[in-house]
Amino acid sequence: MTRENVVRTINGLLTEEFEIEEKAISSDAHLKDDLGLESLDFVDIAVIVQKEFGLTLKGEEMTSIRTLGNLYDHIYTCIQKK
Amino acid sequence: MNPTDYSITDLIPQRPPMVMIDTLVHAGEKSAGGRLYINAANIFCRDGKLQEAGMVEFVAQTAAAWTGYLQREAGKPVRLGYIGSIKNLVINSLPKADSEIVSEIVVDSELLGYTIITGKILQSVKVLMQCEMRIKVDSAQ
Repeated sequence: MTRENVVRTINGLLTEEFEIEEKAISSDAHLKDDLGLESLDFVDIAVIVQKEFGLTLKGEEMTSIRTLGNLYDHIYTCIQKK
Repeated sequence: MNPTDYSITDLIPQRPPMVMIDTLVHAGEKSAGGRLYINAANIFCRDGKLQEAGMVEFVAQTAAAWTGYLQREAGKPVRLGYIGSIKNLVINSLPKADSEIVSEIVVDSELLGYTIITGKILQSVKVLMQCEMRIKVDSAQ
């Protein structure tokens, strides 16, 4: 699994599941302020991450994830540690 | 105790007329099933059929009863749960009043304080509805 795979999967989730326009998606995008994600959306992200990558995101880890880039990095780092 | 040994109101916080499950039929580590006889006077019935909201509530209360059962068996108080969201809801048909339906739930995962379940309602072998549900269980109690 490469970081590119992680980025592609997460971006696909954002466009298909949350109907976020592709042009709004960038590593710098703030998950709440720029992409408009709410607390329940993070649960959906956690579900997809578990299904796609076999990772269980924990609440305390999510609090430090502010941007899309943070999310890509966190998932990729967890995959590397598996 | 078996789940059927409990009165349903010992397992869920809802009270009539909002009780939408008669019996928790079985409860496993990650799954459960319930039964409901649809009384014509049920508040979710209209034109002689149980409406969509009633079916969703039946699934949610099956999950609530499952949690309540596990809590009771552990000697803990029953906790409140709230439907956070419903996804991939498919309703094939509405059951008639004066008939019985059963529910089946499977707990897919517990993430970020939410319990994610897949639920379905059947009548005989026919699947009437299915959905995914995110349920927030009150941890403060």
